[in-house]
Amino acid sequence: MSAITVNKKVCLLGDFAVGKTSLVRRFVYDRFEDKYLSTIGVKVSRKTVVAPAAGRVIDLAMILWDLAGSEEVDKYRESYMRGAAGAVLVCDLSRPETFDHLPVYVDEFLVVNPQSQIILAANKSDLTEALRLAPNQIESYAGSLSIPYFLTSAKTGDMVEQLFRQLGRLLLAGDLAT
Amino acid sequence: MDDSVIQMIWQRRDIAYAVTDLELIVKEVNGPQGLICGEESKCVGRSLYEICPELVGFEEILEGVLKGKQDSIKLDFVNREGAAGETRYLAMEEVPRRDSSGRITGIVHLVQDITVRGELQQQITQSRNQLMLLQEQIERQNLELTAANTELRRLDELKSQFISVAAHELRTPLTSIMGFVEMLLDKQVGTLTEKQREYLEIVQQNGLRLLDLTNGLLEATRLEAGRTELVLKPEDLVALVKTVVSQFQSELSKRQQSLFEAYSPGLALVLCDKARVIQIVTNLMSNASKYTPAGGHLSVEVKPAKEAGYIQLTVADTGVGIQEDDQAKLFSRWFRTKEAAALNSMGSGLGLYITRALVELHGGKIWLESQPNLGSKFHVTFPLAM
Repeated sequence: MSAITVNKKVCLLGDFAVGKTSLVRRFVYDRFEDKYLSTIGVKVSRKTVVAPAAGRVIDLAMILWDLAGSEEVDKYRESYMRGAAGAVLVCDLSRPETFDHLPVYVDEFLVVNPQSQIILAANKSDLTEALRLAPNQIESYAGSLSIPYFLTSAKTGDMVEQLFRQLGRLLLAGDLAT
Repeated sequence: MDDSVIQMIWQRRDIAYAVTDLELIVKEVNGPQGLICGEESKCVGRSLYEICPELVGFEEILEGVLKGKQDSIKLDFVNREGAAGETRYLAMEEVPRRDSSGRITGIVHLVQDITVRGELQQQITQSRNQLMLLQEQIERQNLELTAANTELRRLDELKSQFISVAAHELRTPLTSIMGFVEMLLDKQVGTLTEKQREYLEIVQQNGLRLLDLTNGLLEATRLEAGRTELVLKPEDLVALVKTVVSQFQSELSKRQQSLFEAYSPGLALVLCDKARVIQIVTNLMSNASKYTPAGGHLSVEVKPAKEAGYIQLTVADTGVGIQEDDQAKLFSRWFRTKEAAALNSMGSGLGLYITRALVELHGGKIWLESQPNLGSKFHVTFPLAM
């Protein structure tokens, strides 16, 4: 039985410096750079995960759109989000304001892609001394949207693979449902 | 225009293109190496989505471009990794390709290298984002400091309340102890042996010290809490000073200290709380006498201050003086110089702290001039009653 390949576009959304690029780099290349380098525009990476779905083996090619979390991309963001099957919302556990801004990204994304899947990554869980968001705040917000959430660390790799694989399962389940 | 000119333009502007058919299969590639995909020759025959994964998700819109319903798709600042791992910034545009009859036959995928502009933009964004991160950090730290400060103030108030209550509670039984000691020393309940008298005098001396300390504590906490109220009236400062001086005469005689008084004639009245001014002058006179050896000289002077609208009082002595390093700390709570502690073990280190607070409450100033072993001069100003 040969694998079926499915392409899915996934956008990473969140404020600047929350670790969107680092999450993608950890997931795709299993690397981490400590130095903060602002992304401008869009960086597209691809990673294929193999997943069983409805009795078949699916090659899910996740086309990851790392969108700059800055003003420059605001004017393009809506068009860049078009055709996305899913989104990873990212906030920084040490900067509560990045969590407060998440509803703006969710609203924008769902207007363009109402049938899509969303997952939440509360990143930088390794900064144990500087954490300013409680897990129950994250849980409560994710619960209100009925979406899964993960406390991730792109630095240590903690829960990064699980985050994207869970999103992959949701994307395939969404396909089967339609 | 011949093909060589067009090629030159493509090259000079770092523009490459790929042409597809209606199935989006690449049929032709041209332009600088590496812009469309690794090797241009390997692009031909592949799907546009393969050579440009950024177009995944735009299927419906590309369909619209092929049907003439949509003009084009533009993607700006697309990041690609170069051969050496460097970031290259590309601008992409998908436009319909038409034949001579105007019929759409595929897509022209245009790619322009805008790395120079992208790097500049990246540096600007990087600097701005780092500034914003710094600003966020400063705001958070400010908030934390404000919270810590509020907490400290609250603790300080609690501490002041505690000291105030404790001092009150100490003073009540102390008054009773002092009363009974005085009765014993007055032989109201019988005669005393020399040893008994000696011990009772030690009890009385230490009781007085404790009373002085509790009074000082109460006074200091009242001042710090802003609960000290002045009854301000026009007063004759010279008359008040003379009252205090007269009370000190016997003590000065006992210590064989001489006192020189100098009062400028016709001085205007000052606006002050009479009882508090007596307290201030008493403290300064008491210090001057305590820290001046027997046979030393004291002086009191009242005159117009250099600063208009004020009268200045100066109390001087020929005592131990104060080291320069200690002078700045002299008005701090609990501070005592080594020399003072050696000469007089009874002091609490609150006297000058309270004196300064009272002077400042009047709107005046206090300062000193001093030289070790030569003596000190304490100057105090009081505002005129206008």
